[in-house]
Amino acid sequence: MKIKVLIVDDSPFIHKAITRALSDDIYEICGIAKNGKEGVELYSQLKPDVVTMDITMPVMDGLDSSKQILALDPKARIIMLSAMGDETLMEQAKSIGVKLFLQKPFKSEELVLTVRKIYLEG
Amino acid sequence: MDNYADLVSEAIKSNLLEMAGVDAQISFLEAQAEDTFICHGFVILVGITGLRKGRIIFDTTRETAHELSKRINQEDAVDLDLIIDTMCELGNIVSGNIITRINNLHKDSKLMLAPPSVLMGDKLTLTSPKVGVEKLVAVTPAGPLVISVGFERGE
Repeated sequence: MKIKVLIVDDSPFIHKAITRALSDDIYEICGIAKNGKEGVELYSQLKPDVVTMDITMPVMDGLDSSKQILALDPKARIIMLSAMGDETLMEQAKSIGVKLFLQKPFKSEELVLTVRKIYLEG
Repeated sequence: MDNYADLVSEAIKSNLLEMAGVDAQISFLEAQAEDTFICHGFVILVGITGLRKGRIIFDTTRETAHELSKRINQEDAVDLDLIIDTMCELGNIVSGNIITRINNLHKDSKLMLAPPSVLMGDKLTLTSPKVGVEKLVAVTPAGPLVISVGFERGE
């Protein structure tokens, strides 16, 4: 069974980087959302195992999108990916239920390990 | 203004190595009260909000932007849309790293970033008369990249 990953990020460059990092057969990029609102909609439709979530996006940012996804599914596994990595922001993300945080630029191996960790921990 | 030159240098050097696999040689340019750029053709502008307002400018040539984008995406051919997106993301990531380091040094600064903008064209001049700047150049195998970090001057 494949681990279904939903990418929520407005940057095609990041879509490529994540897709490249998760090119192993055990992962399936089941959807790509270009803003937080699309992310909520695609989460409902696709029921992914893991979500990678950017913070700064048009229409709806990653924090609000995560809140809405977690309201729909409190067990949602969300990895926040952001260029910003200061403690205040990480605490804010954790306080709404985001489980893991990865600062950009991330190495492919880091992303793979983080996706695997969040998936296994449930 | 606090001197953030070393912190900016560390951020750009480590991010270019991680993203593009290039080892950048950093040179510091003289700090100026007024910052005027005669642009080299491809500029990324990132606004800073929070306790102190400012901006970060990345200035390079179109050729260097093209070459860096190829290296970052690990592709031999990249179109203009991908170059713009890649350079925006590079600007956003380096700026995010710089701001994170400042926020971790000064807990109350709460700096955030505005979405990046790209300016392209010949004979562009950018002037920021109300900021004090740290300016450096990162010389990479893909070409040089000038980075200017400016915050509004205090009263």
